[in-house]
Amino acid sequence: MMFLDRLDLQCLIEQLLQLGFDVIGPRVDQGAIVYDSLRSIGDLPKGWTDEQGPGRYRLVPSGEEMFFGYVIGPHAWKKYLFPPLLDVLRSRRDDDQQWTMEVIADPPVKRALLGVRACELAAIAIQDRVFMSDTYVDSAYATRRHNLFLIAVNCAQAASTCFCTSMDTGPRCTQGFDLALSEIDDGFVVEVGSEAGAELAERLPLRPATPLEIERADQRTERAVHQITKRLDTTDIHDKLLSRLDHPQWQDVAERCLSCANCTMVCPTCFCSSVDEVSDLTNDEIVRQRRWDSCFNVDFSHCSGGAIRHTTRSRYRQWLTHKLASWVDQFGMSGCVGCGRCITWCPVGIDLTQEVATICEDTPVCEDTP
Amino acid sequence: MHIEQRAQLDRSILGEHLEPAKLDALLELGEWTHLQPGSVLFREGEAIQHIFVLLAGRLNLAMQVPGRGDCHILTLGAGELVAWSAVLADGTMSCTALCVDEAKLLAVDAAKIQAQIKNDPEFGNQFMKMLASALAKRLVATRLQLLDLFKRE
Amino acid sequence: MKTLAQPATARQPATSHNPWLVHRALIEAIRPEVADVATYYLRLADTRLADNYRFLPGQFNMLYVPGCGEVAISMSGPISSTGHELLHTIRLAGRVTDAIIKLREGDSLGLRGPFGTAWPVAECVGRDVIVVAGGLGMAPLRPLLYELMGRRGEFGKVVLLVGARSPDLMLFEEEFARWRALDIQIELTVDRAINGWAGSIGVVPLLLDRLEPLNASQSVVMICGPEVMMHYAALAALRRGIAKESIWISMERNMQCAVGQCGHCQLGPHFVCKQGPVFRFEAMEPYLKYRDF
Repeated sequence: MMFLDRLDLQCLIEQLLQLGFDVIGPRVDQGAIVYDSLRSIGDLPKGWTDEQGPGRYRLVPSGEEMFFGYVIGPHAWKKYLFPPLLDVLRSRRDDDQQWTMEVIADPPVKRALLGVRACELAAIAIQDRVFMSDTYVDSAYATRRHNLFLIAVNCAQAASTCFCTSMDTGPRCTQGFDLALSEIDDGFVVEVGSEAGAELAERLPLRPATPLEIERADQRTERAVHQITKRLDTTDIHDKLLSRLDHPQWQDVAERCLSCANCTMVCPTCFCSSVDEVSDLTNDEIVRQRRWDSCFNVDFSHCSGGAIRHTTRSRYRQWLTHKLASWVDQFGMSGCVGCGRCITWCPVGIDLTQEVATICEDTPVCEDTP
Repeated sequence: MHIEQRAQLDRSILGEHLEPAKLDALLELGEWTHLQPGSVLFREGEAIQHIFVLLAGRLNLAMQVPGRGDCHILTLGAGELVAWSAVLADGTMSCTALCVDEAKLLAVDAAKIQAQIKNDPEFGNQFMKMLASALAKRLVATRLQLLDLFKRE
Repeated sequence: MKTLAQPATARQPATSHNPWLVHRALIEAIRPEVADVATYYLRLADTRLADNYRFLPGQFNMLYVPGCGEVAISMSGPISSTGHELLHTIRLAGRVTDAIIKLREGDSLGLRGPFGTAWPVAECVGRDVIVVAGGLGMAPLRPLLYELMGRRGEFGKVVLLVGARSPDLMLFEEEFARWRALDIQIELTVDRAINGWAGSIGVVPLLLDRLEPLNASQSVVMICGPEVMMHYAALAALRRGIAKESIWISMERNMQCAVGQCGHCQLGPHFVCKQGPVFRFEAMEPYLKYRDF
């Protein structure tokens, strides 16, 4: 373990900029901590912390001088790997009125993500599996992923909406990063996680971390663990959810759910998309654009003249059973990393951990006969 | 009767609901009939005293519609019951039954069935369950036919 | 990333190519079938691509009208045709198909594929095959029927049960005589008859109820049509004693990427574009009864 003085974080950012990276990290914008380009440590949300609850998010002064003294905001890193809008195909009509199609290659851009939490590393790993591990690899995702430098940050606090411990994804960062930082008063305990990370470390004014510094870093991460109060019981969750598709709770939550799709937008693993045709004025050049979509949108399941999931109940059920059950069948792991964003950013404060608890409760009345 | 015929009866809706002894009793009450294609088993509006089990061949059910004439609405095949209102109601037929493929039927006098039911309540129980099951199955098939007929496209 | 070096495009595994890649296909012929339905004979413009194109019965292509969008259409012709003559039987059903039916012979559109799972012809070898078609469901089944006819000696009895709304909507009816001559037993039924109709009247599962003789343990059933029809046809097959694992259906859902990455076609854990459209009935059974899952 190495140590980086507080202000030398600036050096880390500058080295990355010099190497041609776009450095992206947390900034305060319109009352929230979002991800955007950084050029200096002055851009970071020093001294801020977040208070989160179902349908509630506030930034308040933390009283400390920490750069990373908050949890997570509405942005997920997925917008850099799986962008909200992406051109994928171009079709041109020639003078003979014949169309020629060509795929649009995403130009490779180096991006360094500063401040990736453990739950977010897990989410990236999940989307790696969705987009890169099958016969067809999403080439834009693969190119962006290939050119990504990840600087993780170990959480020193938890929000009331966090439940990463239930999903076994945090709060400690154990893998998937190039560098991992644990912030204490004087600076950062630095862990190298890859060859690229080691390469960058060589360019930084690092010194070996003292045992006391390491201990203080561990204590902060332990504090995060103890601050986690929310739990999701994942015992038999796959079988229980998929065998209780008629549970009355689905109707109950449907009466509260606005089908607004906020949860899918803030979720770091949601990957649904749609394609649109965008043409120039002459209609001789058409671009196919892929954009984020959501299973909560009514027309998402449009087929044979109508939407198959034509009720909020059926759409909420789809989202939850996919995220926590079907996802396991598809990708070998849960789709949920326990970040709690869907709880915070739900306008009506629906908490999926509570919905699951009700549905999976073992009373004879509630269970479907399979 | 032939082993094969009995086997077919056992596999039909009769065999599904009537225990062997009851099925035997029913066969005792009935008579075998053959129909040639084009012949009419009964007409719409006619009062019928027999209930039929179709063992082989096909019958079409048709209804008269003023201005359109005879409309064929359903084909019945082997194993199906015909003219149950002879037992359940006053025997007035709601359709004409027309033979399409050479048919073999078991015809059973409704009065004889009523007598059997009186003497053997368990026979009555099983026979009525069989009728209900046949009606339910016909209803589902009719509903599916309607769903398709009134599809939007 | 491996090193901090120059930005690079990620290496793709050898087996994959960019799934968004669309190829030009020329409309060689358009054959009207029944009302609002026509078969498009498409030829891939790139000769090498056409030579190498192979598909299996039950698979589909994404057909593309630039500026309008794509639609998933099953192939309806023989699998021997390679990419020089790919038949797609299309019904006017929405925006994209509306754009396709406005195209003429000599026009081109985009094609990518083949995608999806196929009818398991191997499971039919040595057994009696019951093919059940409802309405436009005949189209994805025709390549299967051509295979069964082309290798007729490898299979036992082959029965085709066809249902249509009315006699004039019976797809490929003009081929039935030829198919009968190739030892395919064909039974027909309509929801609504016209004068002189010699077939049955009623829904298609009723044909399965009455099918005699039937060697249930030796039979496999391949069903394609509206979802409700497939469900009841499968139940009819089960009632006849045919094993659940011998029943196959072809599902339909909204498809956009066709490679299991956009999420539209999900049915429970299955991506209909990848694990389907041809599924074992038992894989679909838990979800069919919900209709809005």
